Amino acid sequence: MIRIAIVEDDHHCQEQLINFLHRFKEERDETISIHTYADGDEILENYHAQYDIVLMDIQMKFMDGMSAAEEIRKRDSQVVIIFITNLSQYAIKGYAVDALDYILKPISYFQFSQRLIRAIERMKKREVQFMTVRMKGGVRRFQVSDIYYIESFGHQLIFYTKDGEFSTSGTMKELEKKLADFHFFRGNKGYLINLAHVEGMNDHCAIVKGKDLLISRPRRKMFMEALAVYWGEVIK
Amino acid sequence: MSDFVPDIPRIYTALAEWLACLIYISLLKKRLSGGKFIICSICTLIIQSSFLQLTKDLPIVFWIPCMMMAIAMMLLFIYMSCDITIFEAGYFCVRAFVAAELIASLEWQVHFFFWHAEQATIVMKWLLLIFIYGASFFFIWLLEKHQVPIDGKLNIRQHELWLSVVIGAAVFAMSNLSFVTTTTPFSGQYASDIFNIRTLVDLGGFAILYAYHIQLNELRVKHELKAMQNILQNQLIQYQQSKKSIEMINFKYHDLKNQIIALKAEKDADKRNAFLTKMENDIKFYEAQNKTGNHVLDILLTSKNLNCIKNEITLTCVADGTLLNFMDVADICTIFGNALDNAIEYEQKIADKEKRLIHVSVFSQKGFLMIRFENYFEGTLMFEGDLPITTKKDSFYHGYGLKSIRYAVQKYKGVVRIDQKDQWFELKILIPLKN
Repeated sequence: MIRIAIVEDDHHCQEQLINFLHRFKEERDETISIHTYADGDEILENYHAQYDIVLMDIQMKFMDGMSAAEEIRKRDSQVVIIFITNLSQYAIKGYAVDALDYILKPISYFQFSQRLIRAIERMKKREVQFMTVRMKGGVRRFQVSDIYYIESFGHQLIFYTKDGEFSTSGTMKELEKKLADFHFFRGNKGYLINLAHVEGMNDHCAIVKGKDLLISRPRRKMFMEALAVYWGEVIK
Repeated sequence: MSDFVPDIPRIYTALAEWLACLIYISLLKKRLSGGKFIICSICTLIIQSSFLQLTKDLPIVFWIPCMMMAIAMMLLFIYMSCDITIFEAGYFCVRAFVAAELIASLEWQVHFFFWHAEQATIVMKWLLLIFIYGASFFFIWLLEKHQVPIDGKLNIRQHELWLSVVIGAAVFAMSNLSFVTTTTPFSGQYASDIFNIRTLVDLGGFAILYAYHIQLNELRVKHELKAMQNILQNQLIQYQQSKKSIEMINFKYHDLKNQIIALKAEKDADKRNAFLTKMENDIKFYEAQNKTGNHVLDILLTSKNLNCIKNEITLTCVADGTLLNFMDVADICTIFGNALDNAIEYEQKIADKEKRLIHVSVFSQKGFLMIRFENYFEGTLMFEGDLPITTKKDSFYHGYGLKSIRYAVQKYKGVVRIDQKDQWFELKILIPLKN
C-alpha cells in the first residue's frame, strides 16, 4: 500500500492528478490511497508522517509548497516530496528539502508515471532489512543499516555498529558473500564498508562515521562508482 | 647468453634503469618531499644494483624473471615517488625501461668498440660511462621536458598502457634475441652485429614510444581546446542573452509606466487588486531568472533549455549551483555542456514528444558533490570498457564528449558512472568535497 497526498489548490489539476493515480494503480497493479489538500497549511495541520509520497503544488494561496515542504521535512525525513509547478525555476531549489524530482505543468501522464515509478522504487529500497550473525553468546540480529563497517583480523571479524563493537569469528570472503545483496564495499583487505555510512573521502581514505578507513589506490575508483550507484538508487 | 660476447655489466644496467626512472620522475608531479625522495632514490639504487649484481651468475632460464623483477622495482620506484595512477606509472615505467636499455646498450657498444674484450683502466671505463650516460640522459630529458604536462595527468588508461607494454616487450625481445640464441634469422653472429642490432632496435622502440607519447599529448591538448571553445561559446550566448534581457527590461519599463497610469485611474478596489497581483507575478518571474547560485551553470541551463524548448524536450532541473563554486569555469562548461548536448541530441530522435524528458540534479550528499543527468532512453546500452558505444553516426565525436567529461571530473578526483535504469540513461558524477 502506497499512501499518497496531493496538495493542490487548483481544482482542475487536482482532479487530473487523481485520474492519473487511478490509471497508474490499474496499470502497475499497486494499491494506493489518496488524500487531497487544497493548501500547504492544510496538510500541516495534522501531519504525523502518515504518507509515503506527497505531490505538492508550489504556488498556492496561503502557504506555498516550498515552505510547506520545509515544515514537512522537519517532521518526516523519509517521505518523498515531488513538486508540481508550471515554472521550472520555482522547483530548482528543491534540493533544500530533499526533493530532487518535480513534475512540470501541463502534466502529461507519461512524465507523471515515470516520476512516480522512480519514487516508489527509491521508497522500497529504503525498507528495513536484517541479518543474523553467530556470536559467542548466541545469535545476534542486526538491522543492516545499523552496521557501519566490519574489520577483519585473521579469522576474527569486528562489527562496528550503532550499538557498539561486536566480534565474531569468520572470514571476509564468507561475509562478503553473505552481504552481497546489500550495499557493502570492500575498501581493501581488512574492511567491508556499509556505503550508507560513508561521509566523505580524502586522498587515501573513506570517512565512515568519523573514522578514516584506508581504501587501496586501485580500488578507489570502484569504491566511488559503487557509492554513486548506491546513492543513485536511494536518495529521494 | 653466448659465452664469447662480454655483456653489459649488471651495475651499468642498474644505473641506466635508475637514471631513466629519475628522468621521468623529475618531470612528473612528486608525491614525496625532498628529503624522503632522496632517501627513497638512494635505497632504490642500492637495492636495484645489488639485485642485478647478485643474480648475474644465475642460469639463463632465470634471466627473464630477473628482468621482470627489475622492471617491477622501477615501477614501484616511479609509483611511490609520483602522484599518479598505477596505469600512468606503468606507462612511464615502460618508457623508462626502453630508454635505459637503449642508453646502456649504446654505452656498451662504444665501450666494446674501443677496448673489445680487453680490460680498460677503471678510470677510462667510468669516464666513458659518465660521459655517455650523462649526455644521453640529458638529451632524453630535453626531449621529454615539454611533452609531459606539469601535473603529469596524461589520462593514461588501460588501453594506452597495454599498447606501450606491447611495444616495450616486442623491443626487448627483438633486441636481446641474439644473446639467447644465434640461430634465428633475426640474430647476429658477431659481437659488433649483436650490439648494433640491440642498439638500433632499442632506438626504434624508443622512437615509436616517443611518437605515441606525442600523439597522446596532442589529444590532451585537444580536450583542453574543446573546453576553451565551450567557454567562448558560452560567453557569446551570455552576451546575446543580456542584450535580450536589456531589451525586455526597457519594454517592461514602458509597460509598467502605462500600468501605473491605469492603476491611478482605476476606482474599483477589486480590479485594482487583480491588477497588482498580475504585476507581482510578472516581477516574480524575473526573480526566478537568477536561479542556481552559480552564474556559469545558470547560463548553461538557460541556453540549453532554449534548445530544449525548440525541440519540444522537457528539461527539469534541481540544482544547488553554489556547490560548483570550487570548480573551474572550463570544467563546468565541459561537464554540463557535453552531457546536456548528448542528452538533447538523443531525445530529439524520440518520436513520442511526451517521452522527451531530461532531468538534471546537482546536490551534496554528505561529503560529496553529486551531479546526475537522466534522460529517457529507448534502446539498450552497449558498453565498450566503461563508456557506452555511441548511437551517433559520428562515433568519434560522441565518445569525445563523454571522455571530455571524464577528463574534467578526474581533475577533482571524482568518478563518472554511466548506467541504464529501466528506460532511463543515467550519467552520474561523484566528486569528494574538501572538508
